[in-house]
Amino acid sequence: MQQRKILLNRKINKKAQEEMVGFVLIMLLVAVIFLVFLGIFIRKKPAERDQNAEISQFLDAAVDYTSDCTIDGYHYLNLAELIAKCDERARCNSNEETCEVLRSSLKGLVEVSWTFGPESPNKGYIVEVSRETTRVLVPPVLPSPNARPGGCSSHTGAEKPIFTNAGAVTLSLQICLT
Amino acid sequence: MSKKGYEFSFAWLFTILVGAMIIFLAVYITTQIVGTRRLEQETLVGKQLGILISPVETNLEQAKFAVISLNPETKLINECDSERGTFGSQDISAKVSSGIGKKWTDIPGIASSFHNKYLFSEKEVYGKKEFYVLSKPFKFPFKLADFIIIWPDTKNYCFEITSASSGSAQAAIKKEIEELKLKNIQIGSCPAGSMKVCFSGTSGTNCNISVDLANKKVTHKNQGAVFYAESFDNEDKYALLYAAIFSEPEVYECQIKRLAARASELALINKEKSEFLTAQRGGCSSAPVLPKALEYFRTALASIDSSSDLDNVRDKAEELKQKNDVLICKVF
Amino acid sequence: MMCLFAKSSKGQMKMQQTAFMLVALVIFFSMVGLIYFSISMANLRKNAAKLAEKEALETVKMLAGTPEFAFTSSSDCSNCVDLDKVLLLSEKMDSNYKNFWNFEQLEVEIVYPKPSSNAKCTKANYPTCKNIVLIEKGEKKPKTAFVTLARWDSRLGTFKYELGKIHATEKNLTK
Repeated sequence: MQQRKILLNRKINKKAQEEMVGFVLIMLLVAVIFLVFLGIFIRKKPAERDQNAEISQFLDAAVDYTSDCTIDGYHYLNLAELIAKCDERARCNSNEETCEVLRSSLKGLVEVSWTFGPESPNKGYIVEVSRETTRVLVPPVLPSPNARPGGCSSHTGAEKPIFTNAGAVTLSLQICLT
Repeated sequence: MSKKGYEFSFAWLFTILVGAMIIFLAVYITTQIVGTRRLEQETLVGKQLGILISPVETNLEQAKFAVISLNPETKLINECDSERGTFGSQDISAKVSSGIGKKWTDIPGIASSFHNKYLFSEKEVYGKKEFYVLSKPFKFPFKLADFIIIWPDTKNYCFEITSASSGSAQAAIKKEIEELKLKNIQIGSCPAGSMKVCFSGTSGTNCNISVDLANKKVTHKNQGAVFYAESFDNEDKYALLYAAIFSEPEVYECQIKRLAARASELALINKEKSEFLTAQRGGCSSAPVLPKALEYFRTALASIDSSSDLDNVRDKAEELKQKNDVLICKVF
Repeated sequence: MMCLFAKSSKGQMKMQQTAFMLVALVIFFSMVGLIYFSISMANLRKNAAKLAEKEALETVKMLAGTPEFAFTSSSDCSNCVDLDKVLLLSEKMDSNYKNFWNFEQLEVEIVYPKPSSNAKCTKANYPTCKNIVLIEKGEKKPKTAFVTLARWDSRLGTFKYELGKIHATEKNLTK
């Protein structure tokens, strides 16, 4: 009788342990499945080229800016026309290169619209004028001659296509945030 | 013998009384809260409608069409006051239907007020699920404003347009309805119950709205006639015609007076601009010809008492446009 | 008797096990749900902030299209602000144009070329000035949009286009 009791107890204990192990296994399985889904869900998407609304508006307004460059002595070129003439390597009446006037105008426009510096939320910028990302019309416009392009880990920006006789040129402004 | 009876004790009595009181209070407070929330909701809907209408206004486009979804059923109240301030005012309020208490309140929510919007519609626009908004710019001869024309999904309009020659008003309207895919507007084969719009030259019986293109007159059945003038936009001349068709005559006449006031102020700004630019050394010389023409135009606008005076003013506007167009540096 | 006792307590044990497991599962899935919603709420807030910024820019930009601001003298620039008109309009803001727009503050600023003076524009110093104040500054931070400003340049003998900004703060809409 005593022996039967001991056997019965052992069986009960073993059963309880089996139940606990089973429960833990189920929890582990659910946890693993959850982690897999979590991993898929929060995996960083490749950074999309999101157009910043403010910069986009800036570019829309900037392309109409009247520069100091005239070719015929009467009509002063706006930024969009300067880009087209720069593509043709034309010179202004004052013998300045249109590309040089374009660079200085872009630099002036950007630097007066935003504050840049180590203390500012905007660390730097890069303005590019190019056709199909292969042919660069002007060297990238940067805050200072020593600044390096592509040194941003986080940036925001916008692009605007400008249509010239030879096809579309892209004017882009990227502002570095970190 | 034991008699089994039920003792209606004081505790039971107290419980029933208190329970009844609590239920009554709960129902009463709920209905009060519902009433207050309903006013809040109606005011909010009125404000939201005002906001939703803003992006529909055109900047560069000829016309824009948008649909405002409603939930629940809503009545838009269009109040126009041409006497308030220099430009009059456009008040928009709303009534929202409710399943508790009365379906519609007697008084709408608090109105949202605008001085720079011109809403052409019935005084009370009842929509079940949608409001349709058509925005059209109006030039006279410079751009005065964007008209916001609203009609509900509970009203079907049917334009009796017969084979219209190209360049005519009917052709232009037909083309626009098709291009913008305006909802609740049908062309020809008018079903029963629809708002029939007949154009002069079409044999129309039972027309709710008759358009006399020769005299630029729009007559609403049992409500009287209003007049319209063509816009100085060659691509889109009939903004006022649409406004006259879709709005109640009283609302239309009030908006015409408000537009006249706006035109007068814009003419004054343009006059001062012309004089200011002429006065500058090497300035843009447009005075004294243009300022005089603008002053005549303002005088004509001041005489507008109703839409029937529009045609007289159009001659002055035409003259003004011609004088401006010949300038090297146009004022407008 | 012993067997009966053992069977009934076995049943109770089973029920308890099930109950505890269900409780544990519920707690577990609630935590999962909590993490999921906090991640998606963070995304939602980010998107809402982006949309609010875009909407603010569009509202201010739309002001540039109103007849009092719009430049229509030339087809060179279809969405420009007529700075000459705005200067004259600023003199009417306390009279005929008072409360015309639902704005608490409204200002047009000349950004580039950078003006040589920081003064407010008047007929006397125009265009060598910084800004045209239509409605005086309030307390709230205004919404700002870049615009092209058009004006007649007597030196060039033609219309000149400059970079500018419109600063505006909206009012509440009720009567």
